[in-house]
Amino acid sequence: METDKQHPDRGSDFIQLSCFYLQDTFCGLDINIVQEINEDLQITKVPLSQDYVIGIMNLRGQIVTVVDQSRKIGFEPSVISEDSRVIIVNSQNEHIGLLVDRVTEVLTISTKDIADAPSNIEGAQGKFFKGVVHTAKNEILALLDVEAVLTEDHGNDK
Amino acid sequence: MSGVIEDEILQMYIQESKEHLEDIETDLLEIEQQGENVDEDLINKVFRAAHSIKGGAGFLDLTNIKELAHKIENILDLVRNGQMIPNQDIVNTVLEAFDYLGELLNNAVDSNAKDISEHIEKLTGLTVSSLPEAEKESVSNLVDVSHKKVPVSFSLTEFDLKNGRQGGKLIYIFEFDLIKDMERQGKTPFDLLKLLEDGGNILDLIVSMEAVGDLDDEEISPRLPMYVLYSTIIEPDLVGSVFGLSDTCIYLIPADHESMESSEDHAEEETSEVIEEASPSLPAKMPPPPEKAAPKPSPRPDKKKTIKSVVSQTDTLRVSVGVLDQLMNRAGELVLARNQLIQSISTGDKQIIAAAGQRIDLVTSELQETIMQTRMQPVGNIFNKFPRIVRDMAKNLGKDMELELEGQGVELDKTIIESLGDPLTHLVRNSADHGIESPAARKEKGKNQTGRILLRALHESGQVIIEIHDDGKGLDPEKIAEKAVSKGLISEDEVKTMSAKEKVNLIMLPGLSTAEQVTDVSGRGVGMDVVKTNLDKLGGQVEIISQLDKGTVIRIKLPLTLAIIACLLVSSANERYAIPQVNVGELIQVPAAEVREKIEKVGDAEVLILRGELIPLMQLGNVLQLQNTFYNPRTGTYEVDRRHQLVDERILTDTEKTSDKRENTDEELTTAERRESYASDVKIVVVQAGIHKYGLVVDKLHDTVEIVVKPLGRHLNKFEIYAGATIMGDGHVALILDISGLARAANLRTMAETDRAKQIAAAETQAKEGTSRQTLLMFHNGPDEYCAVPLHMVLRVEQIKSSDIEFKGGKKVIQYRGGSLPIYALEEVANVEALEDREDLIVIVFIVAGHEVGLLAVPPLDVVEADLKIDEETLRQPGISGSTIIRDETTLMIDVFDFMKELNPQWFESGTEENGLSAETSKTAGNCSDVLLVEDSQFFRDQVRNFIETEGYAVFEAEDGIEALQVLDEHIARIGLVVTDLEMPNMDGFELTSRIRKNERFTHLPVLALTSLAGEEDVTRGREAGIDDYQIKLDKENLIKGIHKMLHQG
Amino acid sequence: MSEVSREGEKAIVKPDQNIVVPLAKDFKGELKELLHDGITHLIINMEDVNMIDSEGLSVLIAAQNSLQKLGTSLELFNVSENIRKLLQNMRLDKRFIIQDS
Repeated sequence: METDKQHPDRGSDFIQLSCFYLQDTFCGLDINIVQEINEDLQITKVPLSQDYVIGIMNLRGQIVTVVDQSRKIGFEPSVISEDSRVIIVNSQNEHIGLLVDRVTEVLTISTKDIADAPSNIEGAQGKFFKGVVHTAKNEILALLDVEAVLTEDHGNDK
Repeated sequence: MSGVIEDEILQMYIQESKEHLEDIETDLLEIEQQGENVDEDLINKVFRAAHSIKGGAGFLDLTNIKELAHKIENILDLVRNGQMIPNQDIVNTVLEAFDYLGELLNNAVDSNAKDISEHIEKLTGLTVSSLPEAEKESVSNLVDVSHKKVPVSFSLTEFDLKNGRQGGKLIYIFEFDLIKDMERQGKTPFDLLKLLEDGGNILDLIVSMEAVGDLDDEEISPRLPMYVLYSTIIEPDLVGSVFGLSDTCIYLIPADHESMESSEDHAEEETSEVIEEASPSLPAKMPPPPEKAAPKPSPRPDKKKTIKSVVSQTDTLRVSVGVLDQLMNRAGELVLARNQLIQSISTGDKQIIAAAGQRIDLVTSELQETIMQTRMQPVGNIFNKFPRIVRDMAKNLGKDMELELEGQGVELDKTIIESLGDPLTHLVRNSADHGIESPAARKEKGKNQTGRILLRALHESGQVIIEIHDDGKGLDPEKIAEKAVSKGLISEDEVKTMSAKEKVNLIMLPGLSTAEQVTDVSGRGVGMDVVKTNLDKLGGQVEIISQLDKGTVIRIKLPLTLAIIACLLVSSANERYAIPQVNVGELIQVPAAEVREKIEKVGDAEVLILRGELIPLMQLGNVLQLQNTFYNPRTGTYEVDRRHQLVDERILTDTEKTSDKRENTDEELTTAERRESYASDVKIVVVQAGIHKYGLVVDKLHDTVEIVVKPLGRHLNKFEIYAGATIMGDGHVALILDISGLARAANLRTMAETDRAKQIAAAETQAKEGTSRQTLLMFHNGPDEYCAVPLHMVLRVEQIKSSDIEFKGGKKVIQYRGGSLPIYALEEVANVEALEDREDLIVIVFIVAGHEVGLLAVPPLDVVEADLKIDEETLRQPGISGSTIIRDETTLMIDVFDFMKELNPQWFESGTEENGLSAETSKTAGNCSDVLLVEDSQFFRDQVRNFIETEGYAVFEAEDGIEALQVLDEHIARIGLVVTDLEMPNMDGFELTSRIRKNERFTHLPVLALTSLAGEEDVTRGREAGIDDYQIKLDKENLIKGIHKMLHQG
Repeated sequence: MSEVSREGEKAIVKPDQNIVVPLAKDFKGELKELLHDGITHLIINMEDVNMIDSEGLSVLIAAQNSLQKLGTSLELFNVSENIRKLLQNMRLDKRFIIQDS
């Protein structure tokens, strides 16, 4: 895996983003942390878990927590459809699944083009995003800060 | 000055060193970029560069180069361990140091005269700043390391010594003979150095010319020794062959003993006195963590890796050859089985394939088992260090105590062994510190002056048990409970229901022992919750058994292997869950018909009565807030069950009856059908974990399987109700339930241990055995009035507040389970004192004539067994059948039936004009609501009589038809129904019925036949005789239904 | 036996053969006597020495040790290439004083 070359002294670099839709919001996340994208959505519920945890799934022998990103960042809970996918990411030495509504392509963008995220993106708190980019197609792409999305929240602890 | 003749060795060294330095800059810059995620291989490469430069320099007396390289090495080591993150500042400093190193090498001969202080300062500064406060001085504190048989002594910093032991490395002094090595052609000491550098770390080396002796010595030694202070992971028995040294030249420097005193040596471990010089702050500081000695008592927040102090967490493992052989054999078998499978598949023959498949299945399991075995280590590995700890503590605390060990051979999985170290240490120290009393105190108590601590491991039913016994002062349950209450950890009410043992175990509650002041309670409790948490993570359970002044036992149960456990699979709401077999006691299936009897409500909870024990029940579906399902035999599917409580399996009330009729469409089952279907039986798994024992009610029971436990991710691994997850054979995921966690989550009381509960359980058992003793439920009415009612008539007991009582249509009711329950006070019927005016009241719920009613009572309730002598005269009144003396108090026996009759006579009228009965008979009939039971078998008679009486009806008995007629003759005024067996001696049921029909006094009586028969002819015959209804003998539900029907409809 | 020429406290010793067993012992004796006789500087002409074994080496080292106590160092000259390398390997060339002639 390449390291994220965003050293300020090193000049502008390009990063690749795996892109998808959460509700109507066009989002992207750093492809370096993406392990794979899963179509098979056999998710076992975990009763009494946090509301943004949809459940767990079997990833070739590993138990992977699947998180409803939409819900966590403040949108409506995802409705699982044919287009839904689970993006498996690496976070703190663990594989975690992120539910997305629809996956699109991989985009390459220049780090120079990343603007600061507003404090509120269509109802989601800005803290979950690293920034926004105007794409070549003139869309607004919101860069997700996966670690922020995946902070643990044990409100339901018993 | 040598200038003309080349110094080959030196040249070679310089050459090689410069080669090492070639890539340094690129490598270091990359490391800087990697930051936290430093590539291990890369950092090792740079480390090796510094290391070999240092090694050679030491031999070549290039002191400045050696020291500079050494300091660089220190920094790189910290980065390697994750204790330092290579930021720009650090990398720059290191780069500059390397640059200067290159300069020195260019002019090696003069290098010793150069000034390196600036670099040294910077590097040292960085090292120091990355260390935790208590360790900072280790960088400058010097320690002498020597061995009795070695004429030289080494001096190095504490820091270096500590690093030398990190990761379980051993420290040796090797004695090489340069002269001897010279005689081996082609080998220079330099080559030897390289070998050493590859195998470990050269801490220092000294060539000792003095060892040869001088001209005046008689014998001069033809050896030129080079002593190398060396740190390596290689064990003593191997080190000789690796470096070509005989055992006499290998000196192991044991942990905690940086110099040797005793006479034993040569690659053996020692336990002699510690001599540490030049370390002024020794007592206050932790000695460097040696590989098998005491760990740091207080957990230190290491940045990334923690130095596991007990058994070295190495990446290697010692495996017995026997196990390896077995492994090879099994692997061989697997190959064979695989070949078989492949061949069989090509035959296409299902049977052959199945057989081959089975074989693979079997061999795979065996292979797995054997692999697991390789990870098993004897627990003695960690036990062995404890005698020393206890001895030291004895000295320090001025106590006299000894540690005994038992069961060192018991084996556990490697991971568990390693993780046990800290908790065990904590517990042993705890026993020594807060358990064992001072010698004076012990003497006073008449105990043996020497305190005894026993550390013991044993196998027990599939688990490994580790116990820590001490014969010290024990734990005081009351004090602990008090403390827990004062800290708000539990309520006073909860404490009341606790046994002494439960109170003692409270000490494991987090928060019980904050160290404001170390009192007895808090001292013992310090860190207990941490110990418990650590053990929980391992899947272990902790239990404390203690007796004041006698001692304490801490009992740890551990799973044998972490990864594979046997589990019982169950389902609730169509999801599968796994329950670890170790927690499973019995599996109980309560037939629908028996639910009423076997499952009771006590207060809020439902309990199962199992052989005299009360086991609290928990519906898995409820705890997990799932939707309960039941099996609908009509549609063949599972549907959501709207019943909430099992005890709802009871008689329909009138209202339910009618509504049921209304709703009875094709799809919906009648309640009766539902109850009849097999799947409506209640399935209970009796589970136990530590002190929690309860019954888990599930929808379906499946097999017991061996599963691999997989951990849950970080978002889910803190839920105490789940122990992990597993992947089933079909690829689906099932959660593994943590039985203790589940209990805590559902706030389960350990009901079985309260005395009162025991009484109730005993009472129930007795009632079933049909002894002559009666079990009574006693309560108050007025403050000085004692009342009692037969316990078996009680349906339920509810606690209410007086404010809960409402008035509807002039009658008292309370909101009860979705409806209103009419309640009465005794004084409404009987001439008794008024009900005591209190906020806390009890409602005793009965079912009378098919109605649920509540009787108000004043707590406390009590359950008493008594051989009753009822005085039926003196205090007899409506509602009160008599009195008796219980515990010296006059107790009124409440006749609930009578009571209700006074209040609601309409419930008991059975005559209506529609049936065409004469007014007279209907009046007579109207007052009859007793039942005549005719049955020859004592057993059945008792059973059925019980059923009926519980409903509030009085029962007359007869053993056969002849007796029945006699009873009828005498008591016809009271009797409203005949319930009769068919097969009886002297006169059977058919005959009896005929006679009844022929007798105009009796002919109005409804006759209900009890049968185990269900053949066609009997029904016809019965109808001809005049039998009105058939019921199966022990089908309590339907029998009662039938009785009601008949008594109220004519 | 070696050829010895003295000059006050200095003595130049020239062994006439290789310093090897069993002669190394004799050599040791020779040197020892010289020191007892008041010599404080020992210089050894290695011209005729082509080989030196462990015994021989240890004699040299012992001599060095004795001389150190007197505040001086052993001097060697006319050392053959081989022997010089040997001494270098063991860093003894830093202890002894090795001259070229």
